Formats: sequence, C-alpha cells, structure tokens
Amino acid sequence: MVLAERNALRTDLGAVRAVDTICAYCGVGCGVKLHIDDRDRIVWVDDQPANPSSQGMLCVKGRFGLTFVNHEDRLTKPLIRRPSAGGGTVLEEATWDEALDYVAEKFIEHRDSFAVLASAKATNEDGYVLQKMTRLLMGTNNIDHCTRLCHSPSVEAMLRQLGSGATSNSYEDYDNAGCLMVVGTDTSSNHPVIASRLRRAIDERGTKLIVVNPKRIDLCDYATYFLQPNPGTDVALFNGLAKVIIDEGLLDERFVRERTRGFEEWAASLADYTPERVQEITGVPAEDVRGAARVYARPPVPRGLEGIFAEAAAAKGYGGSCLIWGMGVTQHTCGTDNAHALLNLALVAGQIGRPGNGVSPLRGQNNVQGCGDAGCIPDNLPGYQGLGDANRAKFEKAWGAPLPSEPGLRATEMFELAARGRLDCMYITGENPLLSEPYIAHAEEAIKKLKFLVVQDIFPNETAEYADVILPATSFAEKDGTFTNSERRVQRVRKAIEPLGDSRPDWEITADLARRIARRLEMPVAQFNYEHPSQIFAEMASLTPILGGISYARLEALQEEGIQWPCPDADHPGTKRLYTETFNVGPRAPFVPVEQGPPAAELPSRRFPLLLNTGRVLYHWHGGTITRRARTLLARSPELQIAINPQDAARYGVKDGEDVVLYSKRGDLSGKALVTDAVRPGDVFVPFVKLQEHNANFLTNAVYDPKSRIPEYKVCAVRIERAGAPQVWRRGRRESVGPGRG
Amino acid sequence: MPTLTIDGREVSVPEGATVLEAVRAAGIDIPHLCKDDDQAPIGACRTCLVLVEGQRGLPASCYLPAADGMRVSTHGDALDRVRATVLDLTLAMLDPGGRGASLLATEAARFGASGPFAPAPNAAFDDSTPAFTLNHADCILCQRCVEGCQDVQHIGAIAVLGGGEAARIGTFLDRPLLQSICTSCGTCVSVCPTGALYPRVAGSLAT
Repeated sequence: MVLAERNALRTDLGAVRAVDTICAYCGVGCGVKLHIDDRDRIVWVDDQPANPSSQGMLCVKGRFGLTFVNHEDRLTKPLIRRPSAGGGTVLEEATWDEALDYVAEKFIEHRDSFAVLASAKATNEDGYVLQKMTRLLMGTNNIDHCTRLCHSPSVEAMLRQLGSGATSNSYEDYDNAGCLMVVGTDTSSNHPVIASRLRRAIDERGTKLIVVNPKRIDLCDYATYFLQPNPGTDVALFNGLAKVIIDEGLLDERFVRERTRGFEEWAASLADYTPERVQEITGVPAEDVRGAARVYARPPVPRGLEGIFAEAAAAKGYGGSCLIWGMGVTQHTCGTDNAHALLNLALVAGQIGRPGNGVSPLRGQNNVQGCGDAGCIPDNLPGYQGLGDANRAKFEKAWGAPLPSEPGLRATEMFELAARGRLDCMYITGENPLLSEPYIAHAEEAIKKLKFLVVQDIFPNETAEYADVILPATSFAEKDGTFTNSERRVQRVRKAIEPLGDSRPDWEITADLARRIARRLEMPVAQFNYEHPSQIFAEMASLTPILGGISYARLEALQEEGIQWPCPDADHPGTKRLYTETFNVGPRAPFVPVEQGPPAAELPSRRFPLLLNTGRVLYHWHGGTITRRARTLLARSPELQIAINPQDAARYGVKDGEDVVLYSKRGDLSGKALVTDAVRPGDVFVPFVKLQEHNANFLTNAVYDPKSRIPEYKVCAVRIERAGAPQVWRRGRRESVGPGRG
Repeated sequence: MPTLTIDGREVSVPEGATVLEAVRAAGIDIPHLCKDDDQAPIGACRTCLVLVEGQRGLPASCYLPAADGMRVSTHGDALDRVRATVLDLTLAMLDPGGRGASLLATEAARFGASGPFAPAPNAAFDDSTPAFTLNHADCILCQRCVEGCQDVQHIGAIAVLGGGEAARIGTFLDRPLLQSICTSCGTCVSVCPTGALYPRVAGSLAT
C-alpha cells in the first residue's frame, strides 16, 4: 500500500527525490524531509520521526512555509548601486568579480569604522567564516547578531549566575517534568513543536502548567495557573514567588547550601515582596502567587516516569520543574533584571541541573544558538572564549595574524553610532534592521548615514534599499552546513537543490571576499581557502572546546540524531543537561538581588492611554520577509490584527474587524481590530510582522536595557482610532522625540 | 525476543512488537491502511487481518502482540475472501473517480478486491484553509488524521463525528476547518493514505 507507508516519496505531487535536513524557521530545530520535483522545487515537506528534537512533529511554517525557497523574488545576481541617467542612483546587475572586488576595496577604505551583522538564519559555518574575516582581516570585534534583540538579557544574566547563556536542559526534560512554567512566550505561535511537547506532557503525564503572560495565550487552556501580570512587573512577581518558596519552607535546602552563594543577602532583599504587595504591583491575586510558587517548587511526580527521570523524582520525592521563557521577559528596559529574578527562582527551588528540570530561554531563530557559538558576538571568540591573551594567542597561532582585544560594538550600539555619523560602513548578512529595530524611522536615519552598506540576503528587503552592493545568498535548502538548536543540538543541514541563479552560500561569498581583502592587505589568503563547509566546521571544532568532538563524519554516522554540545572529544556522547555537578561560574551559582523598578520607560498618558505589547502570530516569521513569500502562510494571515479588550473597544468606539489606526509618539500603523478578552483592559497587542506595509516597530520605543542594550519592544504607549475618524490629537512633532535614554 | 512463524518463515522480533511488525519484518506485504509506522495501532480499517493457529477468528495483526511460537498465516481461502471483502467495503466508501480510489484500487486488486462501486452521495468538501483540502469522498475513516492531530501534535482539532453511514471526519460543531482550532500544521495531510486530505497545489508550490 503505497501511501500507507510513512514518509513515502510524494510522487503524486511530482516529487522525484527527498532530502533530509533541518527546518529554517525557529530554534526548535525540527527535522524535515524536503520533497523535490524535477525542476528543483520543493513540492512537499514531511516531518522526520527520527529527529529527536521534533519526533515527527511539524508546524504550519515548516510544513507549508518553506516554499519561499523557490519564490520569484529571490536575489539571483550581485547588484551594485551606480549613478543613473536621471541623476539618482540605480542598482545594476554585476558579476561576482566586479561586486566582490568593489566591496573589498571599500571595506579596506573603511576598515577603521566597520561593523558586521551576522545572520542567525545562516549556518554555523557561515557565521564562523564571517567572524573570522571581521576579526582577522578587518581588525575589529564589531560583529553581532539578532540575539541582541531577543535574548541578550537572558545571556547577560545567565553568564553572571550560571556561566553560559544556553538552555540548561533538553526537550526531553519537558516531557518528563512535573511542572512547566512558561513565561512571556506564546509558545504555540513561536515554537509550535515545543508547545506540542508541552501539551503532550500535560495530556499524558498529568504535568502541571503555569503560564505567565499579560496576554492570554492558547496554552492557557491547559494551565493550572495563569498569572497575568501588569506589563513590566515581572521582577516583583518572581521575587514574590521566591519569597513564598522561602517562607513556606519549600526551598531545596541542600541545593541552596551546596550549590549556591549569596542566599542570605538575596533572601533579605525579598522582604517587601509579600504576595499581597505583589498583588498590588502586578495585579496577580496573592492566592495565585502562593499557589504557583508551591507547584513550581514541589510539583507532583508525573505519571509514567522511567529511567533517570524516575530516579531523580524518587530521590527528591517530587517532580522536576522546567522554567521556559521568551521575549516577554527580555524585551524590557529591565530585561536583565527580569532574567535574574527567574534564575533566582530556579536556584532557590533547586530546579536546575537534574533530569526533568532546567532553565530554557527559548531561542528564536533556527541558528541563533549556533551564531553565538560560532563567535558572531562582540565580546567573545568562538565557543564563548573571552578576548583575553591566552585565547587570542590560540586563535592568532591558528589564523596567523594578530587579533583585536577590545570588545566590539553591540548591534544596537552600531545603529546609535551610525545615527551620529560615527560608523561608516556595515556588512549586513541575512538581517533586516529596518524591520527589526525599534522606532524604524530612527533606524532608517542611521542606515542612511552609512557611507558604504553591503547587504547579503536571499530577498530584497527594506534595508537593501539603502545598500551600495547587494550580494545574493542561498537559502538553507541550497547548502550544506550545520544549525544548532535551542537544546544545543548540532544538526546537519543538507543541500537539497542547486543554488538559484548566481546565488552562493554565505560562507562561500564571505570567504571569496575575504581572500580579496587579504590579498590587498597582504594578509594570509590561505586562511579562507575552504572548499566545503566540513573543513570550516573542522577548523571551528579544533579551536572550540565545546564543539571539539563533533565532526561531519560523526554527524553523518548518527544520521538524524545530531550531537548536543558540550562535546569535548570524539568519544564524548554529547551533553543532555548542563550543571548536573557544577556551574560554569564555579561550584556555586550566585543569587543576584533585583528590585522592581518603573515598569517601562514609557507609560500611558492622556494622549496615549493604552499599552502596546508586541509579539507574534503562528503564521508569520518575525518581520515577515520570508513568510510573506510563502503563499499558504500569507493567505492564512494576510493582514495585521490589532487585539483590543472589549471594554476598550467600547470606550474607543471600535468594532471587531473594523479598520483602525494605532498611534504612538513615533509613528502610526493601520490594521484590523480584533476585539478579544485575550488582552487585558488597557492593553493592545500587535504582532511585529510587516503586513500591508504596516509594522509594529513604526511605534515601538528605542529605549534600552542598560545592561544588555536590548530595546523595549514590549511596552510603549499608544492611542487607537477608527480609520478615517477625525483626528482627536495632532501627531507629535518628530523633533521633540529623542532616541531615548541609554 | 519472540520468534514466530509467518507463512512458514521464522522471524524474530523485539519484545513488545506486534504481529503486523513481524509480518513486515518477514518481508510480507499486507494492507494496513490505518496503521502509521510511528504511531500506536488504531484498529479501524481491518485490512491487516491474519490467521493464527489455535486462535478463533481473524484478528487484526496491528493490535495483536507477537508471542513466541505463534504460527501466523497471511493467506488462506477464508482469510483472502474476508480481506477482499473488507477492501471492497473500504473502496465502496470512495468516489470511483476520485483520488482515493485511484490510489487504492490497483493495490487493493492485488488482494482480490474488485471495487470501487457506487459513487458516494453528496460527500462534503472543505477547502476553507489555504493549506490543504478535505474531500470526504476520498475518506475511508481510517482515523490516522485524528491520531496525527491528537497523538502527534496534541491539538485535537478533528474527530470522527456521527455514526454508521453518517460518520465523517470533522471539527467541533462540524465547522469548516478554518473556523476550528486547526493550525494547518499538515500532520493529517502527511498521514492520510487516500489523499482525502491533500495539499493545495497553489500552497505547496511557490510559483
């Protein structure tokens, strides 16, 4: 029976072959089988039951959204901006030689004022070559990627308290936990396959779910506790949960004694966070604060535990708790404090480092973990090796030239400097800051001031409109490489189709460019003579202890299994969970006292009475550059929906499905009203995808968390009006609005 | 590891395996329309029937635990006749000109089935989602889609509604898929053996 066989080749859809690879959307890292027709088009995407991260699950984006690969908008020729006959400029097609020689010369010209945005959608190998070029040839650590805009507060806080910014556990710990606390993430939209695993644990194991979110998300249907705090009050809430755990004696005394430090001082700092006071600040009922704290600290033993999970639960007498969070925690001016408050909670309850528990900042992009691992961050060499003398010496010896020791610019700092005319040249790969930066009008000013901009991407985008040179890269389906997912699993990405037009894989473009730069600077050209990504990975592994035991040969032998780092040597099986014995900061993790401050930099006013919260919808990916080019996804979600509570809808005269306009001090956007009690009175929610030329970041506030430099995407003040209604307020004058405090 | 005899051939399977797994391990091809390789058995289609020495009736092999010393036949006069009848009844659920019939008829004929027969009267067609269509005229109610939706994705958007001849795959309150909690993840499409759930060409192809 042909179709009764699982994963049969879909010849009925025209497929002639199928290739196993990894989905290019979120950080879950699902295995996919691309079914390809005789014209090299993806005609069907199947799940991959052998992949341990996805176990045969797949979401709508992975299943129906990967067809963007073949979209007619793909960039297929290098483009150079030249003066046009009419007096302006025009992008003209060029050969690779012309384009890369030109870029090489310009990069050298601007070598002292140069910065790079790496792509968390590209492979580890792409990232490694890019940071190598930046450090070795351009002599700067000015390289960063989108983690600055998503989990930099988590990384900041985790580095201080634990010593690594990575997820401590594996997905299998969610399957075997007694309690899942999901904070500031609409998991069903952003990481749908993780949401499936959470629902499975709840359905099959009786696992308890605590949802913390100002917006009611789909997972709330499964929740034991749904805590709906006022935006920006997470520190108070988590301090309050921790205080209940201490006061009721639910802390893990042995863990606190043997594996933490600074408990007394931290515990004293919680004195004011009684459940009643927390209720005043956050709006979460005191009884729910108590109840959630009890479940988190002492979850029931889930049904049907086996092996190490059963042993771990038996040793404690209660189940494990996994703490899972997303941008709702981080994208605040107090983002790093929020993350500290979460980590303190995990430490006091001892819910870290054992089977069935852990702390998980869910990684957004498919390879945001790997992009950082590969060294595309301004303050670390590959593998989170600091810029100190010994580490630099190791890399200098391997690469044959001195490396810069000063930490480089972080992504948000790059745009601030550019806006002030103090950064001349950028190499932006697989990133679109003119959709993803807060307060886009401001970011646009910054980009315009650059003297030379190179954009390397698969589609023309908003940022590319200001590019001097556009280099056409290939998509994930056209190259070999590796992605590293949210559970630190290094997985093999396999080439399924030939590159479209003249496009080339990112690593190949960067290496070719680097050779041209090196030749001109009389630097070691041979450092960039790569013929296959496997060579790049081998070099990276040889210099990066956490990846030291991983090779393409091993990954191929393991098929769809992948290997979870740290994997220091070739006999090491990989690491399912971190911190089982010690922390990367030492044997004891410090508690970090944090105080609730003002909830946000901008709060509602008479003119802008509502709070805007941004996030995502299931059917789109980030700014939508990709998902708008997947027909099924766009058809499923063609316009921006502005979610508003029925009370506010009545107050402002807005009906469900009506065209409305949102205004902030910085701009406006149009969309359709979605009247729903999923958002609290006083809040509105807009996904940050750009649809019909409207995007939430027209409105968001370019103010930053001082510790991590993440923008406050999650809170700003707005006003809603029916489209076409007479203007109640005149728009604020632009010049009165600064880029925000630092 | 239990060792069984299947059509005279000895085969050993891991502890906990089913007779269907043993049959397939022996390299013997029998229909098993509702059994997904990666999922628990449903036992809805009754096409994987076998004869077991010393047991009454014709058990569905997908549900039957393999036991040491079991002697199993996948062919025999009565068994072939019953299986052909089950396949005929299955084919009778399908629109003779439809996708399901064209996918199943040839294969089913190998097992003696002679359908498809009568056209299905007024079967519904759900094209509300841009991702795929659900054509009830191609559906044999094997329930693999229901299993995929609930046991793989834990969404539970679809179930078998109604009973007897009125039975059909549908959503809560029998609304169109787009108005249900279905997220268009397409797991149901990937497991459907008859193409009743089928990707929309405009959606599956980019251009």
